[in-house]
Amino acid sequence: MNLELDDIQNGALRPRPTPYAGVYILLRVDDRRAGRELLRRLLPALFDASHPADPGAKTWVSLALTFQGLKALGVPQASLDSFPLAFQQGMAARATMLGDVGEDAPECWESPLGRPEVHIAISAISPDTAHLEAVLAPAREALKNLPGVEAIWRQDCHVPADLRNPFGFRDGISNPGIEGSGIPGTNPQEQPFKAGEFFLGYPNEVGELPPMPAPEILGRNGTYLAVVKYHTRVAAWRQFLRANAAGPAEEDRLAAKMVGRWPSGAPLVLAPERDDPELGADRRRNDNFLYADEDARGLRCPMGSHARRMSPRDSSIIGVARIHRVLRRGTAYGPMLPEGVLEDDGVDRGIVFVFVGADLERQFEFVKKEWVNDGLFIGSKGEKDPMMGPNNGTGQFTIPQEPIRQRVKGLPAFVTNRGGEYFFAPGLRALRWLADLDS
Amino acid sequence: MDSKTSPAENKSFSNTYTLVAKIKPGQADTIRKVAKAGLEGGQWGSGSDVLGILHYQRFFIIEDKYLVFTSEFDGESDDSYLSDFYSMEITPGPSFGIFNSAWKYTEGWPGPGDRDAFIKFWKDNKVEELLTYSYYPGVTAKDVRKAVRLQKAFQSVLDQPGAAEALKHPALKALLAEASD
Repeated sequence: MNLELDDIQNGALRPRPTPYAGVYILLRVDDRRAGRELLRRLLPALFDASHPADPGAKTWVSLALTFQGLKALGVPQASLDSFPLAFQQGMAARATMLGDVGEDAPECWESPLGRPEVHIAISAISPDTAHLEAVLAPAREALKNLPGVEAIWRQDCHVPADLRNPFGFRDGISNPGIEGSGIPGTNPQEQPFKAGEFFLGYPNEVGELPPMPAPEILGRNGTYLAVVKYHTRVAAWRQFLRANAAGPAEEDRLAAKMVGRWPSGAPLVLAPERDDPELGADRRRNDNFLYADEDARGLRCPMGSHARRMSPRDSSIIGVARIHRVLRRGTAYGPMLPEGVLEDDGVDRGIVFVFVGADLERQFEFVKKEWVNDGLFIGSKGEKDPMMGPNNGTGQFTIPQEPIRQRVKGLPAFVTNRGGEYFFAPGLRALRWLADLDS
Repeated sequence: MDSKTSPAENKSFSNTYTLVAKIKPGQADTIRKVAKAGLEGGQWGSGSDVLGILHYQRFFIIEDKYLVFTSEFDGESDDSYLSDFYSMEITPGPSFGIFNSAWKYTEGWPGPGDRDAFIKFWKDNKVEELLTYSYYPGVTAKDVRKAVRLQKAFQSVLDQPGAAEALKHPALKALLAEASD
């Protein structure tokens, strides 16, 4: 079954070009007619997914709405009621269940993240800042002379030329193939996923046509986004490595074991002893692996490493990995902490994650609760993701090795949740339907 | 009850899940035959065991009227893995076939093929436990399997010539303490 590529928002489906400069803008809709007018003005800037290699497409703009945003636009109650509970409640209301407590709790989030006045998100990305500004200018025009819609937050972000995240690791390597999309996954050994895992209106991996928001024109070809802004504690990360490894080579090894890849992106399974920058840069090879045959026990890539948690592939875990695959887009924000600096400089830097999926509970929330916040699924109850998990200074990370496994203790949290939200990214017909609402 | 440990510490990490479904009139004996066949066929448990968190699953028939299913499994969020359970069993999974063979004789069972209906049946028929007391709290199914393997390995080590000498090494003190019986 083919995806209706001409209706799906480009930004939801296609992997982003790299490197890029980007921006996220959040808007509040005070007047429903103004909100609808904004959609009308922005629609021409939204590309559909059937034009992937359009050389004119120097900037990609995507638009998504929160539940409160749909309400603010005047979407009828019956339609609002048809959205899934997680989306209706919003990320802040579900924070405790998701493990966002203490410093990660909504009370500490950067305003206005998590608040009901977040209605619309616009993201724009471009190969460089100049092109980005060229697209933002008309967007600013569109917003001017539109009282009733207010921009309430902006986050500049980027993926640098070396594709490194704030921790210094090449990120965003792995992407699933999606049936009917014409987009192959990055791992030729991983079977493409049913379109319904990522877009509404198609059969999914659990073998059914999942429920869609009503009316069909609103739900079809839409998807959900879980957006989270993480501050990265890079100095703490480096200090931890320094304190738990004897010398720079050991620090590099420990870091790679925690991440599951070397800084170049070379996966531990294929490069168990040392980094291999050529492999890391080679898109045909850097994701071409599974775990069960080469590394069932995690002697190369620990079961609890970040990359292996985020995508267990054919590892022996509790449950079925395939029904919890997420499409993940991540961008960095803020300047890099200069190499060799171990003292925190007080600068905000981090990652804005966007997780794309048709089922917030089964995908984003499940991965967070079961694969990040705990290790029961790999038989290490109590162990959390070493890089992203809510460790609190007592975290433990096990590195299988012969003859005796290495256990690193005292892990602090290396990221702080600065806030997030659930969005619905409608198809283009749905956006027109929203713009044409008349109530 | 050990007076030194608080009730909170004795709370089991594992969860119990109990479902009670009404048997369709006259079908209790059919269910008994199905259970017997499942046991004799050796299929029971092999599928759901892949889930890895199960301690046991039990079926009871009460007064020929009610089919009771109870299981104990690891984890605190008891609904997180329902999709996984459904997914593993709906494709050629032996256990769901067995669940379906038993439950299709109960009222309201939606059959395979509809995940939401399955989850609704599960939640509608769930009985909240009144009390569970665990005599070895916090032990997962995986811990149990590892402990059994370790015990076998340890016992075979003890039978090796030179074991007593080896266990004198200071690093092995904790093992030496377990060696005498």
